[in-house]
Amino acid sequence: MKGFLLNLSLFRFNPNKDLMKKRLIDVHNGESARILGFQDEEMGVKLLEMGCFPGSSIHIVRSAPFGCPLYVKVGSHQLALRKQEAETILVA
Amino acid sequence: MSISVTTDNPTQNTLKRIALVGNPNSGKTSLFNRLTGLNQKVGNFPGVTVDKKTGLLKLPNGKTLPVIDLPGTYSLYPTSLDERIVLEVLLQDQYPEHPDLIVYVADSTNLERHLLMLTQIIDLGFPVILALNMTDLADKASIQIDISALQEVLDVPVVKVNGRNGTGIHELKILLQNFPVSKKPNEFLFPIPKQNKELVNSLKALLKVDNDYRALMLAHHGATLKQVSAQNQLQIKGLTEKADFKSIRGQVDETMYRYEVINHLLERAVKRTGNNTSRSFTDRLDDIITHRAYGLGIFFIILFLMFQAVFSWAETPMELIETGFGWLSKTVAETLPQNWINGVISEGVIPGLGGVLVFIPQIAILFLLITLLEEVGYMSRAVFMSDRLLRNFGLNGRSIVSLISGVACAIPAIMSTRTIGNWKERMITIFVTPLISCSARIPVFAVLVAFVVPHDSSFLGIFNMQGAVIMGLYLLGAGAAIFSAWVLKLVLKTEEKSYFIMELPSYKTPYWKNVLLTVYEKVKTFVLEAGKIILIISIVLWCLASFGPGEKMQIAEEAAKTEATAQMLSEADAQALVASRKIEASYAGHFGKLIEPTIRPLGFDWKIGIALITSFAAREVFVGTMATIYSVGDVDNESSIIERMRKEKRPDTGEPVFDLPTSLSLLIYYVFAMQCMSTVAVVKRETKSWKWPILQLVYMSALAYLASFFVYQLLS
Repeated sequence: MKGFLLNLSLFRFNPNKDLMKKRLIDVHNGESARILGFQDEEMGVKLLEMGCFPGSSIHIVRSAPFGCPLYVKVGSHQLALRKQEAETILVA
Repeated sequence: MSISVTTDNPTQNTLKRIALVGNPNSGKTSLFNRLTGLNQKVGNFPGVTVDKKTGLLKLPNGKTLPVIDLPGTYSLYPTSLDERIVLEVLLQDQYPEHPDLIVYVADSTNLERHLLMLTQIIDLGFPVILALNMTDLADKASIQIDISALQEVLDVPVVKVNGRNGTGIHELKILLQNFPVSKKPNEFLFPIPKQNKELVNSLKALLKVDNDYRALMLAHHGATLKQVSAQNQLQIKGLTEKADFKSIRGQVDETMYRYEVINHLLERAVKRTGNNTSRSFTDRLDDIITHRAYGLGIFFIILFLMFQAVFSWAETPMELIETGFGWLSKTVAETLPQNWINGVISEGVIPGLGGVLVFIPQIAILFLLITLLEEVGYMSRAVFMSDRLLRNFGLNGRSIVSLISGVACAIPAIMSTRTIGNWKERMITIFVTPLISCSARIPVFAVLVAFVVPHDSSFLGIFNMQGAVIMGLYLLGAGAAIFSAWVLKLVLKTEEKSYFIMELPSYKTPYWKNVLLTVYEKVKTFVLEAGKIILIISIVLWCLASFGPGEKMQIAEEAAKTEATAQMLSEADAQALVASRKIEASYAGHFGKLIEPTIRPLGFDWKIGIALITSFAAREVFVGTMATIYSVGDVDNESSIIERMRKEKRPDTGEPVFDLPTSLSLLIYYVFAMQCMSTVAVVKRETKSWKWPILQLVYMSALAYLASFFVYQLLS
């Protein structure tokens, strides 16, 4: 998790560049990814407070009966978040 | 450095108040219950509808210490009412709840995240004790925490606790007893950024604050804090604008910096041995419980079993309470001298009180089950599964808890909407919750359904038709709630973003103390909130039904007595006839006749009109009023009331009053109409305006009137 201060730039929304990047919404159920940063400052910092650190691994376990929200695991902890939140999480 | 915890000098202790602070799901409440036991009370913060849990903690030296359990929050940057109050209390020492020591409760299995707010609290200059909760789970997950290293790097005393089994509680109390209250020099874990230094210094001067981080927090939130004067708010606004202070940007930078620091600190204190990749119990259980198909099925089975349990378990205690109050009322009526005071007490106060208390079994059982589901961790799964569906109707997944609670009683259900951060979603939830059929509707349904469906009919030999109709009424109420929510979603405008990021805590066995205390609180809320209003109104209604304009009541009484003698009625029948004639001549009877033209299109006569008026404050009064109007002596016997109502004929046509169209119309009326003054009062308090309760009252009455109108006109 070292050096995530360097990732600060990822908080700045750059439409041209960011649209090319992979977001959590693009990750399929049952797959994992690594959090790089967030596109939306307000939502991003909330996610950060709830333990979604840049650099940590995020696993999409499943989606709820009507397709949303998503059941994700960050580390060994479970979170529920909506697709609209998943759209703002940049992953690799 | 060393921490002086062994200096046994009780006189040194000058702590006035401590606060428990921590993230949601840190086990804070279990610890609070463990520390205070029954020595606690739940109130409200002045001017805000946030639960204030306070209690007294007994120290080993016999002294007591006030403790406040502040709502769980992730940081000093609030996103809901609950979180805002934590910030207010911690920043503003004008609050009487402002603590002089904080016990910070953290979940040991997720220390990185839980320490974020701890570092903010340390920077605010509070003396802190870190209570590490759930260390047993950390052990299981092969997370080793070196307590002394942690004490050293954080520079605060650390104690392992377990709120659920009581480990470490004594050690924590000893620490509190001997805690030296001394201000430490400020060494900030998060140094004030260069670009904010000037702003922080001018705020320190302006607001007479001596702590840099406190001043920075005032730059972030000062303009919206309650205890900051309007003038100061304007000055803070001016200064932050002048300094080009960007709050969210600052929050992001601070949070990132703090995590960096925490990671650095934890490198020494926390070791993760082995790679724990095996799937936990929670993971395996959630494969089924939150499964797309099974999950929904389990949800409905749980709901079904819950209601089933509520109705079957509550029956006996409810009958006991009813009989008890019936006996009390009769005894008082016979013992006290025969005057109006006797009437107020035996016919007004006691039945009114009984009418409130009779719902306790249902409400207690339902909340017991809801709290159990919450404690084991199921409720957040229900929220997770219903969010998408409820969002279509302008609600939030969290609304499901209020909607389910509404089946017991709308009052605690409306109070539980406080966890919904988004204003619009919260208002919609409050607005539609009273449409969910609550326990007070059951007695009304039970009487009226007998006129809609003959008792012995069944469908396909399995389903009891009366049961099916009542089920249909519940669904109708739920449907109306959902529909109304959808309409409101289109009408209400808000700029506020709705977001939904929720922890799904690991499943755990419930801690009985948490469950029982919560149930006790909910029932108390119901009794106090509903009780005081129903009591006042039942006295007013008794007066309306017992007094009439001029001599009319007396004349009616004389006439009835003569008639009874002429017909040679038994004493009980004669008394019942007198009561019936008296209520007709009373103010209530006059009101009933006054509104008759308005309710005629719904199929109601003036007698039903009286019942509508008397049950305006609380629906369940309907049954008792029917008994009085139709002069049924034995109020407690449902079937005799039904028998008597069945015989009632329309004076013009000679046909029964309670035929299918009228009975169904009346049932539908009670599904939709507000008819509960306690709910109005609670909505007023929760929304802090008269606008919402009045809108709600008008809306529900209109809905009830129109629905009954169409039902009656179509069927008759």
